[in-house]
Amino acid sequence: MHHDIYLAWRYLYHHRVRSLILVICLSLMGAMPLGVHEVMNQGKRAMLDRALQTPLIAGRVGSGVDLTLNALYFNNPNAPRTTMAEVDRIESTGWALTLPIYSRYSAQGFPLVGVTLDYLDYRRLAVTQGEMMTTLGECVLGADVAAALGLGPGATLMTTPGNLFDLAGMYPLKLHVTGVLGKQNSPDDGAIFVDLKTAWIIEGLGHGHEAPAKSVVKDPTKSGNTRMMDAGLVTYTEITPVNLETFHFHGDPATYPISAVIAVPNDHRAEILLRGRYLNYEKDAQLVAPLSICENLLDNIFRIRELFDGVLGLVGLSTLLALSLVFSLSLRMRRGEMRTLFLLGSSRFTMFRLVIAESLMLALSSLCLGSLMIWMARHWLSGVMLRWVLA
Amino acid sequence: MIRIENLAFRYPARDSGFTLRIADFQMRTGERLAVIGPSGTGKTTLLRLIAGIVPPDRGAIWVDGRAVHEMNDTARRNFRITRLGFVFQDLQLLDYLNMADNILHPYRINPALRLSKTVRQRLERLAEELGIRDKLTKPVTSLSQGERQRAAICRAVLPSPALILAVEPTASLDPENKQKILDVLFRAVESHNASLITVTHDHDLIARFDRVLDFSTFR
Repeated sequence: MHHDIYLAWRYLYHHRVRSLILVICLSLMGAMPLGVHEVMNQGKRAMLDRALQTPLIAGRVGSGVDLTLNALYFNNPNAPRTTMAEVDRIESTGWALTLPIYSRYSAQGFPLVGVTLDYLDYRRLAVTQGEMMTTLGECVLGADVAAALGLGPGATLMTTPGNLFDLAGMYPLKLHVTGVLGKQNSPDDGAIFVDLKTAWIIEGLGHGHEAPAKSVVKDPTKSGNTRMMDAGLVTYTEITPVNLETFHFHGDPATYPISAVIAVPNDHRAEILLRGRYLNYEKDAQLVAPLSICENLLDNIFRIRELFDGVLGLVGLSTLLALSLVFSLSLRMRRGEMRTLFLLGSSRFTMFRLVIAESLMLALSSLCLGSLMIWMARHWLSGVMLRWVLA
Repeated sequence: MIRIENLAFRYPARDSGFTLRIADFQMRTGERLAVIGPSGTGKTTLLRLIAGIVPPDRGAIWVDGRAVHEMNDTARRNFRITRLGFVFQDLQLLDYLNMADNILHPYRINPALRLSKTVRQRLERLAEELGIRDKLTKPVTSLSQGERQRAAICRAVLPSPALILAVEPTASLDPENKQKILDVLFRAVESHNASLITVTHDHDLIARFDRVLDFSTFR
């Protein structure tokens, strides 16, 4: 048998370009459908895993899908916002832990998410470098953000202004990085987390500034002296230990905006009660179960898989036919070689074994290459699939 | 070594209905025989019949004491591989193998021959004798015609056959190389105490053979 393998190897090696093309064709034929299925399944699994870890989400009435995706993936900064009153409403029932999220802003291309420390505990996001944020103006980076920006504890980064032409809009705020979170293979790896109050400062609801200087300015257009406030009031764009105490908030905290509230019910009964309660608020609020939202969404999106399967089936069949033709033509071309084998003392069975050995080597190589392709698809394309679903 | 009686072989593909007939033929062990004659008179066919590549329609062939005409396909094949060496006119070397692999090829495709360390050592010795030892690892496509001829002779001689059959072993060679190849063939035959039948069109060479069988009169 080892002679068959040796001779098959010599033949395939001698015709290595032809063999390589055959191996690539066979690999693609096998790996394409399996790879597409695998990537789709991975994307689906990743999405459902995140949804499974998030029992309920409350937010402004509107699209449940937008609310869910924004709360899970921080991907829609313009999604309708709710207020902290929603948090109060759930907390007043005593049926669930509340985790408010505010994901309107970004910094250096990554979503900036305002949360409470409870959110980080709930998602099991632990700091692996530096320490947890403790005061206003501090942030912790998701693992992917830290890797992409090359930042770590002690670094600073500026938030991205929402609109350069909005004169009344928020100022960019310089954030101090206190720590980097451990990798979780979740959307949290690609986010920058700040305290909710820091997010509201970016929003402009809280600020710190110099004490207003009082001065008397003579207005030449009016008679007499007019007492005027100095219009050049300096608003801080960085929170430091020196100016920290000057920061303050205006307005009713219950009206402060958030994107959504993750509600973690105490038990199944509490979940049912909470969902029932929200039926009464259907005009201004909604409570959704992310799992069912994501399942419905994925079922709709992955209907395309049936189309994929049909197309791939046809492509596979035609490739198989083409390969059969190549194979039979190749055998015909090798008639002279088979004649030599016969003259040198080979039986028909030995010739058959040689062809089988060559075919097996090609099939085995294709299997290895195909497996590698599927592995690569699984590792590199599942993220692409998830991004495609969220896009 | 060889005895042929009342042999008849009809070419199935030939429109002429030509039939090769040999009433009686004998050859001694160690004899060197040249077969000459015009094309299409059955010279190569005679060698193929002796080698058992094709069975006769009628008659008997004994080679080295064995009745070739009575053997089945497998027995004929094994007999040919173990007891006979064949140098084909077109050499029958495979492009995808190097010279050594071509010479050892019969050992890899027929279980009647066993590829052992001894065989490999014999190959090296024989290659040395034939002056192709440094070419053993070269692909056959890079060899000269003379080197390819030597490789084919080496392959035929390697299993130490009792009879070597060669069809035009000196074809397409210049006169100097013809003599050299024939020297090589004769040396190989003598060193293995084998018999030799060579089909040739080259009348300059026939003086070196013990006997000449002329097919001109057969037709």
